[in-house]
Amino acid sequence: MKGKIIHILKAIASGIIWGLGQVFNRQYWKALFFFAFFGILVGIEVGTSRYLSGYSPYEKVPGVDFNQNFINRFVSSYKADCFDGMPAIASFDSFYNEHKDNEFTPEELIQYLAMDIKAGSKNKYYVLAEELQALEANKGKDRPSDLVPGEDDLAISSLTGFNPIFTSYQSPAGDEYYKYNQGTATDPSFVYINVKDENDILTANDIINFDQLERTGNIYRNNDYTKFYVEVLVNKNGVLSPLRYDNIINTTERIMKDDGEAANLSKIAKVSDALFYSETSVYGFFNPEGRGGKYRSTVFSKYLSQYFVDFQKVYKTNTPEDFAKFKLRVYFEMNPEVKQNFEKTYDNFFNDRAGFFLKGIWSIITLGTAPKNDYYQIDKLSKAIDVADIGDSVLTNLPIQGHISSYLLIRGLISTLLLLYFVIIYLWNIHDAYKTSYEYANNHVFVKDREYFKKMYESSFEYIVLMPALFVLTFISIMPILFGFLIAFTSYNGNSADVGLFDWVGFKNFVLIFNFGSNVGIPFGRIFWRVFLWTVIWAIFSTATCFFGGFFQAVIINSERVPLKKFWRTLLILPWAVPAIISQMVFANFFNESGVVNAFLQRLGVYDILKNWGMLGQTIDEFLTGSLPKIFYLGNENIQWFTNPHNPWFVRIVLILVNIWLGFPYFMALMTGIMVGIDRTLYEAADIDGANRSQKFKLITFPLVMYSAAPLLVMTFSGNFNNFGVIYFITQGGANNGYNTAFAGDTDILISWMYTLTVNEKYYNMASVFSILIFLIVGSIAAWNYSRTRAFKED
Amino acid sequence: MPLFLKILLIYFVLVVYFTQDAIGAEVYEKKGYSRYRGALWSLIPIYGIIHCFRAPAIKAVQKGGLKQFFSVKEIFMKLLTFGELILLAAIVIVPIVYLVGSSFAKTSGLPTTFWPSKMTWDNYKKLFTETKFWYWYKNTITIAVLNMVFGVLFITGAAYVFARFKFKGKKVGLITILVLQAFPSFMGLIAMFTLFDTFGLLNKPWALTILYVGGAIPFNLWLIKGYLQQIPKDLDESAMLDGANKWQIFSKIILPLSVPILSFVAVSQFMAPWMDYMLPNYLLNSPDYSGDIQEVWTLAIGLFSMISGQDKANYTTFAAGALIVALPITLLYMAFQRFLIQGITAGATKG
Repeated sequence: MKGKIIHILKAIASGIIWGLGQVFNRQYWKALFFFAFFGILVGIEVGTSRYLSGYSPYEKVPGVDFNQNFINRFVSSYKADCFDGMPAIASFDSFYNEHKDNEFTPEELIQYLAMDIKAGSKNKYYVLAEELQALEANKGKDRPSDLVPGEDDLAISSLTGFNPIFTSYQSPAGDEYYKYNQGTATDPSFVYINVKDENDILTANDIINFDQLERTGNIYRNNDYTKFYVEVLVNKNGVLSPLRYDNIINTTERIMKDDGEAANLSKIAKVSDALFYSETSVYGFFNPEGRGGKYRSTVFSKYLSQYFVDFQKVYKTNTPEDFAKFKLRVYFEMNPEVKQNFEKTYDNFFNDRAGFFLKGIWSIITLGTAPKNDYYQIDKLSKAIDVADIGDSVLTNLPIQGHISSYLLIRGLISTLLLLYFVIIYLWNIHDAYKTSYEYANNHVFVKDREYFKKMYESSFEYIVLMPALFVLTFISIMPILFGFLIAFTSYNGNSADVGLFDWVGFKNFVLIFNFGSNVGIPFGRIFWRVFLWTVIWAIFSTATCFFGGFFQAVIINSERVPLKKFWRTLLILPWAVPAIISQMVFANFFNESGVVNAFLQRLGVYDILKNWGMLGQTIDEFLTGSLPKIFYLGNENIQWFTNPHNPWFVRIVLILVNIWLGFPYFMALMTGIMVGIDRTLYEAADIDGANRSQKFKLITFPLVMYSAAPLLVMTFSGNFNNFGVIYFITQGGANNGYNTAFAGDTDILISWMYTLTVNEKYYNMASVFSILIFLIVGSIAAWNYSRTRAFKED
Repeated sequence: MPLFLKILLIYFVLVVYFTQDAIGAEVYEKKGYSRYRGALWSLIPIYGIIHCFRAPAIKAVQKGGLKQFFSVKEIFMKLLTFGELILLAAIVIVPIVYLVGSSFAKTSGLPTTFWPSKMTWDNYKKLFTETKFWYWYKNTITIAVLNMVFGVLFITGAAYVFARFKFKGKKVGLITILVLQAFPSFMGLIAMFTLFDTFGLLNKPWALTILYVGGAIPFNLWLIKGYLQQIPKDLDESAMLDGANKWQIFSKIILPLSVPILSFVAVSQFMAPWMDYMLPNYLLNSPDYSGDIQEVWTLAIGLFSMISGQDKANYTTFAAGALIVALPITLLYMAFQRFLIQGITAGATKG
């Protein structure tokens, strides 16, 4: 018992540091061997990580930060200008004096700028009249009548919001009603409520004769800025014409378009700020964080902007991204919660700092967490930090790439599979530490390192030879299939998922194909079973026709009646020798509606016969009034071999027939070979017994050929199940493919449908679900077939 | 005479012609000559069959022995047999004739006759001057050669090990490979796209080789393994007794004996890229390629691009290109047909 604990302890030692247990076993070379793998593992993990070098999420933002040198230059330039007589900026001076002890860093500049701009752009309600007059006179902006949140809350609470853009309905009596949705967004029910009296509610029927009024947001003022009006247009059959102007404060005061007074009104520049009114004045609400709002420049920010412009004009060292990045950093400084969110999102320990293996495992589990984000907010600083004068384009958005799930999944799989190899060595290392110790203690067997490795080399010949193939197989076959398998359980579809995030969704996609009833979205459930049924029918018939067609032909060619067998065989084997993809493409055109077959049939007079029978020359509606069943409808002007949208089974049958051309020669040649190989004496014996030709065929040829060819039948069946080429190159899945049929045409089989879903429509997850189903079907057929072979039982 | 009757007449004449040929051959054989030569003689109209009948018998012919060939039933059966053969031959040949004819046709759209009335080389000129056919050919042949070389290199040793040795994980390995084969080939398509993108391999034709080589391992492994298992194990054992190691047994005994199956694998590896459309179309077609994307295409994409449009104006050019591609492959297949079919069956039946 006591001895056992030592063995286990050694195994644990090896489990912590690879090779440590071997050191205790006094097998130093072996220890080194295992430790080398440990070193490689740790080396890869650390070497590919940022554990040591550190990471900043700002690396993800395009552009380069302004460096210390640049800031020093700026500060000395500022000092020189002050010396030359420019009025000093007091707040900057005091901030600078506080921070200049070491060096005035770029971060400190950003910090100050953020503070400065924020202080200069406080939220406030300004009297619109004063603002406009001040703008015209270019006067200062802070006025005592401004209402500041936090100081004048009482006054602010009495303000009423004004919506300058809305539609209303006016009764002949002049009452206005606005439209209101009582229902939900998906199931709306509208009523019309009197603007002045909430209890006066009308229905859609009541307002039929009402005028439809549109306020477009244009604001007018009178000459002395005492009154503001909103323009009202009347909508008559989609044509808008001016009607009147409504006073914002008192809507009953209206100036009609034709009044003389209307001429005294002048339109004011569009106000991007939200509008409010009290009993006496109209207010605008200045909020740089609101929609369309922008921060105002300060004296300092103006000076800095000018410095940027001058500097850039001379040195041209900065790109538009650099300025955008600077603005973003200032904006972050002004809005700590945005900054915090940014740093939290784009500084993910596993994604950004961890090494190859840790990141890989994290990737598979989470599929990434950070979405792509557009920082349009930098545009809010376009007035405060105004570098438009440089002439370069000024960026209004700074997009930051988030995690791309598909890439993370791939990398995750690669690293996990690689890790698997290390895990095998790891387990071997632990097992070896235990075993060696045990053997030595109990049996006093001690294998020297050299002997061990020599023996290992001899017994691992197989593995060494297999290594390259195994390696290629792991990363070229297994890894992609694993990836394909896994995305069936994700929400990976569409363009945005190509470059962004998707998530694990469990069996949701699988449930979708059993969902028949839903009319919302793409009907994968309904279409899947239709396509699946056709795929099975296709696989059965295309295999059977080619197999028995080839058999029949082999019998005919090998019949005693036919001399020059080689000639006939060579001739008939041609379709097999011509590359299938080329014959498929030729057939697509051969049977084109205006192609050669139709032209030939027309010249032959077959068209006239078909028209007489009513199978041709009628539209589908005319045809259906006749007595023939739909399967006989061939087309209107021409026979639509592959494009008939009304008669899918006709197209499908044609396809199976065309496939015979492509497929029978292979079986013919194969069975000819088998027949030639049948022992002649069997036939001679049958002759002696007086068997006739058909008996010989039934009792000798047929069973022997079937015995040899049957396994191929199964293989061909699964081959046809996935016969992409015939469908894709001949009909491209048509006819009738579109959104309503989940992009599957009448002749689409699963594999061609999946191809369309993947390549054209980007429904990767659904395509993957179908892949798995195909695998289950084909795989179980193959496994069943294989399990009966001799080879399997032998191995 | 209406076209319909004309065709019927030609058909009837051909059936009768081949029937008399067969009768001539049988008569000739009955008289003790080679049946094959009889058939050749009878190919000469009228004179041939007379020659066969008048040839002196060099083998005793039973009285009435020749008569059996003239029974109504026998002649009817022959007519029926050749009726079927000639009809089928026509069906087989017409699309091929149409392809050849189209490549010489002087029309702007789809040719509507099986053989053009006006012949021209213009389509071939157009193929080489107006399309990137040379690039496609070059790319495809690059992939094909690389695929052949590396495909064989990677697979042979592995197949040898699987065929000859018992080792831990063998059964698991074989079953894994079998399972992998059952997955639809393009299940990994998206993964491969992402993988290629990660390593900057998109739009590089040679890089496809990696996928072809990896993808072919499962099938070829089974194929070669099946073949190698037929080679008697006694050979190995006696060599082992003579002191040969595993490597020597492989290189001196197994490798020379498996030349036939290896050449089959080599040929099929060489053939695969010519006609594969799915992979190259996805991996050699990404829209943000800086150069002319057509220059990285393979033949399959290029040829299909000429006919996938709505107007069929390029069909004749396509036909010219298709013929140039198909001709060597077809001849190769015809020449090695028996060999190739044996190869396919070997893997399947002996597995």
